[in-house]
Amino acid sequence: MWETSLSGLAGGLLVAFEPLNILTCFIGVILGTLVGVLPGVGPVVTISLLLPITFGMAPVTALIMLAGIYYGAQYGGSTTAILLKLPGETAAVMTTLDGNQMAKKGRAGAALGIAATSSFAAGIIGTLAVVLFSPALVAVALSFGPAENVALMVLGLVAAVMVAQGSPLKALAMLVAGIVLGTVGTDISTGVARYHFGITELRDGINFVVVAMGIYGFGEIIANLERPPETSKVTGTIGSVYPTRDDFRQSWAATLRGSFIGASVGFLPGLGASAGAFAAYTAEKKLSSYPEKFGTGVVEGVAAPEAANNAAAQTNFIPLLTLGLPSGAVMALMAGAMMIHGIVPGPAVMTQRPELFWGLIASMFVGNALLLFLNLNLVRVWVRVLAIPYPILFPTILLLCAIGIYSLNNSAFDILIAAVFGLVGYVFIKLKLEPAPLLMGFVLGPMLEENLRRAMLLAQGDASVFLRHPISAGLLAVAAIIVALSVGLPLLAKHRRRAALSTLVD
Amino acid sequence: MADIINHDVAPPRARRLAAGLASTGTLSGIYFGALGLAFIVFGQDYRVGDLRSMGPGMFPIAGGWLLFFLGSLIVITSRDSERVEPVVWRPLIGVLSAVVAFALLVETIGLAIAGPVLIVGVLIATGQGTMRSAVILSVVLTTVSAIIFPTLLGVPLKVFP
Amino acid sequence: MTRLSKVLILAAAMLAPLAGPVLAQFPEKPITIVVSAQPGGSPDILARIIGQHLSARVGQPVVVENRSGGAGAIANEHVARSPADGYTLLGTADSLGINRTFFPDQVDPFTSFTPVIQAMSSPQVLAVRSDLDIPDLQAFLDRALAAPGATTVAVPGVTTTGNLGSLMLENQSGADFTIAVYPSASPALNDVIGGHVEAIFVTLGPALPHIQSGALRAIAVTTPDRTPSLPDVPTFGEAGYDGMTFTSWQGYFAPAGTPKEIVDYLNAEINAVLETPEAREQLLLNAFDPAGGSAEDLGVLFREGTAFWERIIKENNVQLQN
Repeated sequence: MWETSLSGLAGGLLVAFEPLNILTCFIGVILGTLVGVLPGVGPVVTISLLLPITFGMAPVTALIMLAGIYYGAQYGGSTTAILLKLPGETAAVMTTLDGNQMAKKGRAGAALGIAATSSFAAGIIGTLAVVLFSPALVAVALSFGPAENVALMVLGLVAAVMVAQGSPLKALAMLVAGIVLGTVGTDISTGVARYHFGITELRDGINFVVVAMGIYGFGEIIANLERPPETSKVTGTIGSVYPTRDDFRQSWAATLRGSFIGASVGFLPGLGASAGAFAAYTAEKKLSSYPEKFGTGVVEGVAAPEAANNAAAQTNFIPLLTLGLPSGAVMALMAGAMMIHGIVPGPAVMTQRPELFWGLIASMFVGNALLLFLNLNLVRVWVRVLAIPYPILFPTILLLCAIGIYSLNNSAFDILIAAVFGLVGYVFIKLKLEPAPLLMGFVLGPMLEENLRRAMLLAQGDASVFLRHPISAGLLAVAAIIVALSVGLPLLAKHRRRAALSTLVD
Repeated sequence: MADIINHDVAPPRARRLAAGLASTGTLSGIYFGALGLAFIVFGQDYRVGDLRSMGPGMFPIAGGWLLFFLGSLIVITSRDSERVEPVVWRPLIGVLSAVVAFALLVETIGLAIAGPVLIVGVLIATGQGTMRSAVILSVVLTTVSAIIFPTLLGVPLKVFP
Repeated sequence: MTRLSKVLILAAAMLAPLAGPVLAQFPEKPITIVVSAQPGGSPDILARIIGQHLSARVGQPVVVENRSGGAGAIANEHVARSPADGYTLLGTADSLGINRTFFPDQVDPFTSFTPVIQAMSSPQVLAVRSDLDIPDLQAFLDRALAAPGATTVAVPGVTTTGNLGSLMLENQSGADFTIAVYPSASPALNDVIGGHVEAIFVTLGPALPHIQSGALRAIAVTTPDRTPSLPDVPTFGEAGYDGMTFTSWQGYFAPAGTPKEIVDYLNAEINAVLETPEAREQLLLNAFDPAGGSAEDLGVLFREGTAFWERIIKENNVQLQN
């Protein structure tokens, strides 16, 4: 297996280094970065809009470019997350937590630099996983049925509560609020349109990006405008713009762990890069010796989710390239791109068109290297963005958000929904409620519901199915342990403190 | 033992009651409770079903009840939550109405009008910058956006009426 | 008369039909095909293939516009409100008629659109996991009859012909399946191949690579005759279930009131596209059987198909308000 992988890879590198392919790779990653930076517009929209341009190209060239857009967007999405607390991408939500805090403390350059280097390391690790472990990973991906997905979602939701700052009770409430908001729209299993109030656009539910843009984009801006203009700006970029050696020392382990988690999650159908970022952040926080500092601007809080979402972006390709099964919206587009170029995605692609398969994978190494180079050089530019006076910056953000939201589905109505969530976001800021759990519930909730209902249907109503399936049982056990530890340890500490106090008094 | 009790932590009883309704805790709880109720009430038409065949109503209604319960719990348990800072209406209404105006105009009249409306409108409403800078900014931004989105990225965005 | 004048008269006679004011100018700007699908989805791919070749023939770009949502409502409403000048077309499928029954408050396709041409037809296929010992349709049904509710079938949506077909099969055979609904074909295929569901009833296109690789075994198709991609798979008709024969198609409509000359012109041009070898090759690769025919043919197919599905939906009491 290893010999064929390496020889295939060697062949692939030859393809990837053809001048035209390098050029299109470069174009793809630049576009991807740009698109990741622009609020609202993401890889899904961009790839779909640029598909026609790829018609005249050879299939492998087209795929290289489109793939570059996808994982390039992961790099770009973290930029706005750090600078403006605006996640350009679903997966970048976790990066806003610590990344923006670092920026506010004048360490924007360091945050951006760490994000770029972690992403690069993760991209390489993720691509290596694709090269070496595709068949094994595909088998794992297939073994994840409805029951296993439910267990995974439960684990994710538990993690979401654990991650939150402040009161767990409020975080839980935000999570549940996100889950119920996610039920708006057509129910897959029965076709019933829920909570649409007669509005056609609501029949398909609310797009995650619209919610995120509303809460983070509009809401934050409104809140910022309450204070006088000078204090809305980020203070100073004094000192080194780049990360320090300490930053690297602190974060390399987080990068590795994040890459591993992201790579593991990325190939599971339906989950996508964001789930990996959630998981990596939570794990990092739990493993850290100073968890309370997470959310105030620690480098690990940037390195881990960034590594996770980039590694996931690479392994996301596995089910499509090996089996022809797209594992998400972007992969479905790639599948469409392949079909338009006359290649039917399926198990045969690897053996019948090895130059396509290996050429694409090899190009990911090239693309990640280009992105590292690109993003590190852009750090200086991005940091200047913070120096733009707020009266110029915020209308720009508003306009770009508004257009970006429109471009998601050619719908002005989405902009209105985003405005509603802008109000909601403002209320959250006033009430000191952290929005991240709501967004996580919004993403995970519908998946949980769909899989839960399906699992129960297929098991004829027998709830023990979650325990009878080994993977599902295992994941639920992990979730239970996390809950037990998170609730139990503080109680234990409190008990010990009381005991210590009482000995003091005596 | 006596000096462990910190008198600064617990505000006088009167002030706490007054801050009661306008506190972050209480209002959060009320918000969650109301949202939960909304999902319960408006979900009445959907079949709930049983465990084997869950209907479209099960998740949202159960979630609504949970939310209502959590909201009530938050109201009850929030003791020393802070007072909510007063709402500053001008930026709130300014930004939201500018965005809504953009949404209504962009499909009908096009970006060329909607863009400047958004930018100039929001700058006027929030009282930032001069009129001149607002107009310049809106022209520049709208032009750049008109180049990036429809042309470069191919978004079917109407620019001119 | 000199030879030259005869040639000139002949040329003038040939060119005369083009002198009609409408056609002389059409098309003079890009044509848009609106589809209710995301890019890469089946209607999108079909529109891009057809559009590419059509554009070469008529000399204007043919743009595909994606307006997914509302079970087609958003795309339908957009095209219904567009000017009836031939520059905006709706790329749709038999779902146009099916959704008319499910969503009566949507734009009525009978009054809002006029047919242009049927582009392709495609079989629906019933396939089982190859590791199960089910060699053919009868074995499948016997197994289902023996254990009511134990046989699981994945379908790509409540309003799809896969789901409706499964319900029809239940009726006609007396079997009782457990039907698991998925958002689209890919996750359904995922779960079947992964071993969590036993069978799938879906459009042939997405399933074909997996049937060819051996992961799935096709046991019946819904077309009147065997499909070229799967010559060894019997039709439902051959297996004794004539009632399971129906046509799944995709085609193009224009807003109602579009001038007949323009409709005929588009019909002729797209028919020509469907004859070209390159286009046919691209279509067959995606398991699209090229169709064609006149605009009236599509009209008949559409009305008859809609009536057929309306009956099936009522018989099976498939409701969405439940």
